Amino acid sequence: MKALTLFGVLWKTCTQIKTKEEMGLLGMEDGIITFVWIATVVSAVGCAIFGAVMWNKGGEPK
Amino acid sequence: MNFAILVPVLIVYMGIMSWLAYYGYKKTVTESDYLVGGRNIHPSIMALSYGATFISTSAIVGFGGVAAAHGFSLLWLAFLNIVLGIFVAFAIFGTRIRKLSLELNATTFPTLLGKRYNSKFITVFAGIMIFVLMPAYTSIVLIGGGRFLQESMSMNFNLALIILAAIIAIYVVTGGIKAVMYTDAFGAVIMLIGMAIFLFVTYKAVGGIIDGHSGLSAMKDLVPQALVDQGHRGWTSMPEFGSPLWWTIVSTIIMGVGVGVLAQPQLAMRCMTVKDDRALYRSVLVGGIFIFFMTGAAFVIGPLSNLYFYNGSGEISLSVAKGNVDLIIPIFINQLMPEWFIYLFTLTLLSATISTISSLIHVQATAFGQDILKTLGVNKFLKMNPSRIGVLIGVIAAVILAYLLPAGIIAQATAFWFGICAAGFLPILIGALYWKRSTKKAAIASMITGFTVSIIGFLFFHLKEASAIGLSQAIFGKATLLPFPWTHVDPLFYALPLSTFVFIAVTLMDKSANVNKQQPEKAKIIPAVSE
Repeated sequence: MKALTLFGVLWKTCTQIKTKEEMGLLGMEDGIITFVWIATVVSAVGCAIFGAVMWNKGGEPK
Repeated sequence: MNFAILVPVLIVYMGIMSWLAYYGYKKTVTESDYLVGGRNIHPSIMALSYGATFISTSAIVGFGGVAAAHGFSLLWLAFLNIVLGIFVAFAIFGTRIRKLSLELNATTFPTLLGKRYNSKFITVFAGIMIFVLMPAYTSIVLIGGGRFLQESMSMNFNLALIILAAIIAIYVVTGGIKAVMYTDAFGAVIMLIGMAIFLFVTYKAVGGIIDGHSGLSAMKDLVPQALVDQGHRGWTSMPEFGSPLWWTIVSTIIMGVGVGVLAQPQLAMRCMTVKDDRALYRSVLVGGIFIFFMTGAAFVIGPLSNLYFYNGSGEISLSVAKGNVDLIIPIFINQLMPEWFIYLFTLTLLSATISTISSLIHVQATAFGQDILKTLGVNKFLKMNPSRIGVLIGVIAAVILAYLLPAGIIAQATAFWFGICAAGFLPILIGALYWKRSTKKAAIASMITGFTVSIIGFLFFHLKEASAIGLSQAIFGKATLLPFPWTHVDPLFYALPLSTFVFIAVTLMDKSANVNKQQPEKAKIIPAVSE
């Protein structure tokens, strides 16, 4: 849920980009592309965090 | 390229790969070892093998080239690849696939579905679909590898195809899934290093992240008129909503491949090879980073190649490659990268090709040997193990198709295979994992609906395939039967909802859905995954 909320906030912020100064955030012309560029990076980092947090969970019972 | 350096590098590389394949061969004793790696593969090896199988030269060369033509909108696919292809596939579906395959003693994807629904028909039908339709995908991966060797090593394309096919056949015949996964993992490490360096060098060459993106944004007036007419609005914008290009990118490239990954037999079966859920959770870490540096990097590098070429020669990528998108990335590498890197990248793409094809051939072979012949009671075929015969048939079919398929279709053919798998397998896979009430009749009806509607869509509605195949023209006198937008809407868009609807509707109407309540002893054999 936290991840979905994060992506929701990111979407809202990126799709409201209108001015050239705001566009300078990543140099993209379209806020949707800015969103997906950031979301791709965030999702990879999220996978890394998930894997690290769950590192010792789900093992076979001895 | 200096062959005095390249040849020794290739010899060392092939030596390591051969040793790993031999190690896999020595470790392959039982049938379970050959099919699912004895269900005890290390999580890092599983994740890297999964990633290397997922990412072929098709993803790097083909989709990278498509991204060069169409822009950053393809990053949606990278995003879905990480979220669905890694997180959902391992942490959500994967844990259940592993448990169910263990409970049912299933060692292949079709067998898993067949045993879950207690239907030999499902096993055989799924096996036939894989064995008949997968060679088209295998062959375009082979084409991607062959084209790269042709471009980078000036090797004859025909010779490149045959050498690649022969190497892969030897690995798969002898060592089974262990040889495939060990060599995959080694290849994946090379791919990861190669693509990470390629991404950083590309951003550096175009002036950094923001300057590179801004420079590309400023080039939107250089988009060829033919693409503008299709809805292209620049490399850092989404295509115009509802335009032909929007439909192609969203329905075929992004959704077709992005969603289709969940029902890929060669990927789903990787989850059967690990010991416990912990291994799958750990795989999420490795897999997420790996896929980011593969698809994420390729879909960033592709568009930025336009800026690099324009700064150097005043031409955009499509012009430099003379319209063949499959050649953009190879040409870009040759122009941008230092010579030493080209050797590393040769190995990167060689690894991507070998790892993907070896896994595809392994799945095709087990579809032939285990799912079709063994289910039908044939344990020996021409006095040989049917799976090994399947390897040879799969390799020969892929090579023949590689000669027959036209140029520039790598990304399209990948989307075709991923889309058709999603429509045919995804509803019944989800039902098998999460819906105890789902029935055999519903699974059969859904699977047949998914494949049939997809194939009809490609033959009669979707312009690219329908016009290339020509059946609609021959029968009805026109390239496609329906007008735009149906000509550009990927069949996945209607085949998947339809097969899902059929699955749900038939299950709800099927009175045998109560079989678990009436026959508790049978319910122990055919359950959805126990918690």
